Amino acid sequence: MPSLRHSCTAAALAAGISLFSFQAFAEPAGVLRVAVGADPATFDPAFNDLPVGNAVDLAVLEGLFRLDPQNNVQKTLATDSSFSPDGKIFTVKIKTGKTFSNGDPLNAEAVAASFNRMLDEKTGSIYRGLYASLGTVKAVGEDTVEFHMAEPNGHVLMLLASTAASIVDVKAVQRMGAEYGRKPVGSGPYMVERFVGGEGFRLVPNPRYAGDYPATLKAIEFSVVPEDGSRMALMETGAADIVERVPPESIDAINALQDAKVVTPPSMFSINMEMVLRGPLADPRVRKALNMAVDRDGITKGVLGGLGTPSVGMVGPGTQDELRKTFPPIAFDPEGAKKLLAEAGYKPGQLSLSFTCPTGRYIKDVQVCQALAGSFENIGIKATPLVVDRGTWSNVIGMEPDQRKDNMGMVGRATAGMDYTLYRLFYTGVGANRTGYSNPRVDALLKEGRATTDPAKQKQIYGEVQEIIWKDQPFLFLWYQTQAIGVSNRVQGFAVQPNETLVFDKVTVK
Amino acid sequence: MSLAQDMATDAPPLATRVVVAPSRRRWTLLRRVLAQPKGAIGLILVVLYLLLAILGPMLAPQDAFRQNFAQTLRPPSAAHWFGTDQLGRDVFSRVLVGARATLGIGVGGVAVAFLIGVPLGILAAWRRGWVEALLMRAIDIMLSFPDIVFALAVVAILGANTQNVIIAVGVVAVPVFARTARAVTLSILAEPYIEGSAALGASPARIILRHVQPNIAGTLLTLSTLLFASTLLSASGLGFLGLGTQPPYPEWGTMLGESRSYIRSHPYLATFPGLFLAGSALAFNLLGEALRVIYDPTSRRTSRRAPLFAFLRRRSAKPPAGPLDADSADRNAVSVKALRMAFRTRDGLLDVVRGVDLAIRPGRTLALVGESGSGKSTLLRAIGTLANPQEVAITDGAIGIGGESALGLSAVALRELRRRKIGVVFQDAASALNPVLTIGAQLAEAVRAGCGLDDEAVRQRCIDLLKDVRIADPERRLAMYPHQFSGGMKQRIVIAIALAQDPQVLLADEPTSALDVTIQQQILVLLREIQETRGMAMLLVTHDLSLVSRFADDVAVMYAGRIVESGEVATVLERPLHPYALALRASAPGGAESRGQPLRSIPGEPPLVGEFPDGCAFRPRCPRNQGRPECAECEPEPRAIAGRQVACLFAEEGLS
Amino acid sequence: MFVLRRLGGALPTLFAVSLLVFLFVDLIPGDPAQILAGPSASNEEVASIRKFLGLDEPLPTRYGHFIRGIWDPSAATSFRTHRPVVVELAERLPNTLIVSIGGLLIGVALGTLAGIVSAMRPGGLADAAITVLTLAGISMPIYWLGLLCIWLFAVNLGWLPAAGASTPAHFVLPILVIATRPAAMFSRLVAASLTETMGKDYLDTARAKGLSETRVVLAHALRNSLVAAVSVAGVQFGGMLGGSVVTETVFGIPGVGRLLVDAVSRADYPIIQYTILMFAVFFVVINLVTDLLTQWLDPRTREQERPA
Repeated sequence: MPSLRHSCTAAALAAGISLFSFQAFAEPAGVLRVAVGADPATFDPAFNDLPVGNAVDLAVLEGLFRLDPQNNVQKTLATDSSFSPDGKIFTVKIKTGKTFSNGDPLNAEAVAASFNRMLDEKTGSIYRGLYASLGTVKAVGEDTVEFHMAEPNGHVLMLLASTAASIVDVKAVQRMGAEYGRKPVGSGPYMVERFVGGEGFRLVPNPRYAGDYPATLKAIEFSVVPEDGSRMALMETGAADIVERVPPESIDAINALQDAKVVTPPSMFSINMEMVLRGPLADPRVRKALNMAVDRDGITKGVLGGLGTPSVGMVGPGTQDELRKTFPPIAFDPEGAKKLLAEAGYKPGQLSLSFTCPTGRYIKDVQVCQALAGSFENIGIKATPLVVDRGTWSNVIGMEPDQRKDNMGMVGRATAGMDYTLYRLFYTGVGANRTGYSNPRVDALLKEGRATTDPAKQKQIYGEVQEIIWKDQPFLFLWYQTQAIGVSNRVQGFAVQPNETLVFDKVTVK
Repeated sequence: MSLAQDMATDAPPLATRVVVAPSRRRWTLLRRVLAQPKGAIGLILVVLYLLLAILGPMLAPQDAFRQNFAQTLRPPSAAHWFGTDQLGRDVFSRVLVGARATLGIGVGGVAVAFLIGVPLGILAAWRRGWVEALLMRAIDIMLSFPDIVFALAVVAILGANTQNVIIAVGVVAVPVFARTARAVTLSILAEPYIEGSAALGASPARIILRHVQPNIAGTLLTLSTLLFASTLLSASGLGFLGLGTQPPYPEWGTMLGESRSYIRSHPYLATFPGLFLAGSALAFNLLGEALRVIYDPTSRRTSRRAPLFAFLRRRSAKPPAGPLDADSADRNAVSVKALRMAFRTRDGLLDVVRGVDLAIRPGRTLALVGESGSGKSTLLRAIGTLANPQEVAITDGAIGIGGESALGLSAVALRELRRRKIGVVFQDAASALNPVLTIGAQLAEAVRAGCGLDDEAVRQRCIDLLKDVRIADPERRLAMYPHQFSGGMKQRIVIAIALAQDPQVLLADEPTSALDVTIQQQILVLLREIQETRGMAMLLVTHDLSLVSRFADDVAVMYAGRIVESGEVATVLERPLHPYALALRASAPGGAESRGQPLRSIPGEPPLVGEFPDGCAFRPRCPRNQGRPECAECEPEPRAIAGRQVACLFAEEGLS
Repeated sequence: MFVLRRLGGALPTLFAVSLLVFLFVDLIPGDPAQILAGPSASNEEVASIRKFLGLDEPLPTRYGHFIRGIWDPSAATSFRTHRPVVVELAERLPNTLIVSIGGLLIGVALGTLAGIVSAMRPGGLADAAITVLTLAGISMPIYWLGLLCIWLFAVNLGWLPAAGASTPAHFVLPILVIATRPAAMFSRLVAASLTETMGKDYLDTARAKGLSETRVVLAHALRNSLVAAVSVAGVQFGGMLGGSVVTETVFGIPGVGRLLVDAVSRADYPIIQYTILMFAVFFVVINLVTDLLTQWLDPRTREQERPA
């Protein structure tokens, strides 16, 4: 049996290869130079929390599944997967004969070890909670991995397709310790050749790679330049082929270059002012008035320079689009907002609200904060924007609703799926529900949705949840961010995922 | 501004050439600041900025907070002089409104630093002991936290708003104030008059209030002004790191920080707040520099010597006359003819030496006597070719040393002349020796100059020179530094250096006035001996008439830049004919018992340079004047009367 | 001997710094665990990470751990990278030192030169130009200057790379930009103290010996002026190390300053603590070197007992 399956896999593989035969058999050529704004601390998927780390993990490691640029789940190491009838055991068949870049075998045992490492409390992974529902992971033979689920979860594929679930070589982790975070050993098409903290890192092809996305580049050189102006200067001087996070004001300058342009793929980052549902904001009329007071079109064009699309639902595009439901945009209607406020019993100038914004975390966050304050002032609310540093912001955002002194906080959410996002934010009493939102119907639906494996059923459940949330407006819905990436004309085949991960699978340089 | 004026009232009177009447002292500081181009520009700018801070919000043509998403990032236009920002607000109005917060941070930050730092510094200096040790250690600890991180942490802990930014940048500057206040207080407390007050039982608080506070006020005012600028810049650094003032209130540093990524695409956005910010830092720096020049004793010379842009105004002095006629030159070691000299000041040239004729033959000692400010030291420096051409101009006349003209020489010829023919002994031996070089090095330099002796020969010559000036154990002394010698020993060393090249002329500028009486005697005896054994000509400048009769052959009495009477010591001192010389002798009746008495008992004050009266300069103090019109008419020329030269129209009255 | 005594005397200071810096990080807002876990984490997840980081231990235990980390690198690891802090610092310190020392040296050299020119020809055109330039130099926010320099030299003229630290050419702009402040300070300082020195009688003594003006200035005046300048240079250098964050950010140089500020914003306690402790040690060493230099330059300070 195994041999038969093996040959099938090989055939599939061969088919895959023939599809991409040009790239597959072409020698890796050219050096791609990428300038990124964030300084990755580690590539260890158990700790990485930056899109640039995701990009490296995607190139250096492999997961059981992965997301394509459209956020659809694809098989990588996995060849097949199925739930047991009671939904308690999730079985994945994997490719055999694979090795990590250091030659260690990548078999079912290695896959199980990788998951169990992340789930081990002693590891201290920041994703342990997210993956806690996977329970314990066991290897059965060479090619089968069993997840003994802690609770039923119909979204396990979404979880496993995230780069956080990439398979690490646990033996290498034990040997290398923290250094593993710099030069992770995986089975992806590339490996990290050099990493200089804060300066940059360099990926080179992994000679042991066997898979669908063989390396096309001789090297990918990343340089870390946090200052926007300096990073753009790299693009303008031709010292970089790809620059991440082009600020709106530089888009024209880069488009004006002869040999580069800015691409603006959508991002799943959904930016909202998350309300604390106490005091005045417990009143749905006030929440509605706030939502009507904001000129989303004006701000996204004027302040964000076009790098935003007004929200048409809480969940951003690319977050499991098959389950996502959108609604007509909220109309900008300050007069209507004033009326609603009057109905709620507030005369102009009577209502005071404060809200917390981070600096430099989201596109033009400080300016947006001021623009929002202006919008609220326009409908007769005394608005105080509190622009705080990252540490304070994360403190405020992480507080229990009854400890909060402000009324709203600006948060961007980009998450690993519908269940994760909605359950964490809106299920009554869940630790991450910082608005204090509570709706028995939503609770019931979320619970049901989590356990359901049937896509049609999921679509119906989550559609209803999204609709209730959109109507209840526990958030001041703002917009979805748009990514802006400067790409030189010599780069071809470059793609970006909605979660802002750069994908180098098919990139070639002229 | 108000600070500056308050300080002006308390400013200690400072010794300067241009003394201002006490009633006008209140405005002294202001005038002295304005007198410097730096100060004038700085003060005007600072006043303008402060006006902007007060009136800015009223002047703003548009609502600085009004957003307009249809009008974002517009370039400068008639409607928006500085363009509009990311939220469509008028940048010009925001800059005007932002003046208050920006300057407020500067003033507030400095105030915080001042109010914490100065009392701590004074306390440390006053209490000494463990209080000082503890405070200074605490300041060390503060200094070891990096500035920006410290400020960052303060803002992060307290929350980002204008008030906390002020606290943060203020606290960061505390060590500077504390250290300065301590250092200055320590030096003031060491002054004899303070020790005197303490000895008289004055309470510490009183001493600090009465003596210390006014004396450190100037330094601290200067420091405050200079720190103001750096405080603004650190606040702007916080703005850069996203921890500036809270939006939407404008502040230049934050505006600049926020718009920095627009430098390429919308340059005006960063340029205007940047220019205003840099301009305000510049204004306070200029003012601070001007204050520093006034208060910092170490830079006081600069103020007199180096006004900014002075080169635009400097009048060229008349070139000095040509070579001396040969016959007088070859006989005299020093020959000065119709020499006129003037100080260079901002207001032009001020005459200080006004037509002096002087001659010293080899082997003779000429004593040049006169009150302070009579121009005698200036004359000595001119003869020694050491007059600083940037301070003093030789406007007319001639100087000859050993038959050579000392004026209009090339740099090489001048060095040669100095080396071969001139030795100089200064008033203060302590400052005449370089404190950071050994005696041996300084002597060797003098010996080696212009001749090719080997090291051993140089050393032997140094030892011989020290022996000549009666310094015991010369071999060991060569390796010592000036501060390891007593005053008298230092003066001997200075003399040894002066003698190193066997000069023909020895110039001694009050060589003993800094020494105590017994040492004075020894030094003068030594000088006299050396002069006689080597047959040198010596010019001895002194205001002590009692020394003259015993150590000089000839004497020249100088008053207001002119020689009023000169001749042999015996003749002149026996019966002075000029009323000033007479008064001088009367005030110092001679004899060992009154040696060292200053010549202060002549009625009236000597005239200031540049304020000489018409006619005879001694006229206002002269007992012979009695309103005689002749005295006011013209400056009397020296005439030969009774074996000497006298410049008095009524000199004959002295004979009767 | 003197050196040993001074270093010994600095121990209490360093101990106080260690205690302060340890307590100080707790005041910085932001719970490291919360920041690591991200905005979507539940309380239980945050608590588990906090436990992993050892932040739930009592204060004395944590301080003991912190002190142990001074000699045991494995006890002092970054919250973010899990690598020993010493490794992180060792990787970045050279960049900071190159930029700071390079900037200081060039600044001091240029400043001294400018100061001499100013002092030799006070009121001259050169003096006026230097005064204007130096005042402008200390009045301009350094990041603005840096960005303008990138724009001019890297983007417009294309002479130098814009950002990064991979080749020596990358360090040219940051060093020059960093050098402006010490250059400005030194030119004023040297000019002022030279002008003061220029009025001293011992220079006239030297001139009367028949020495050339150049020799008079270099051998006699400058050395005295440098005494004051050296102590300022010491303080400046300390400030430059700490203040390097702005330049490092603008020029994309991975240095200690940026590491520290990033650590503050992410509440990476061990990095903050050990970096500041390292700065404190530097400060002690710089003070010591300054004193030794001063003593070498000025013999009057040699024999006096200075409070350690």
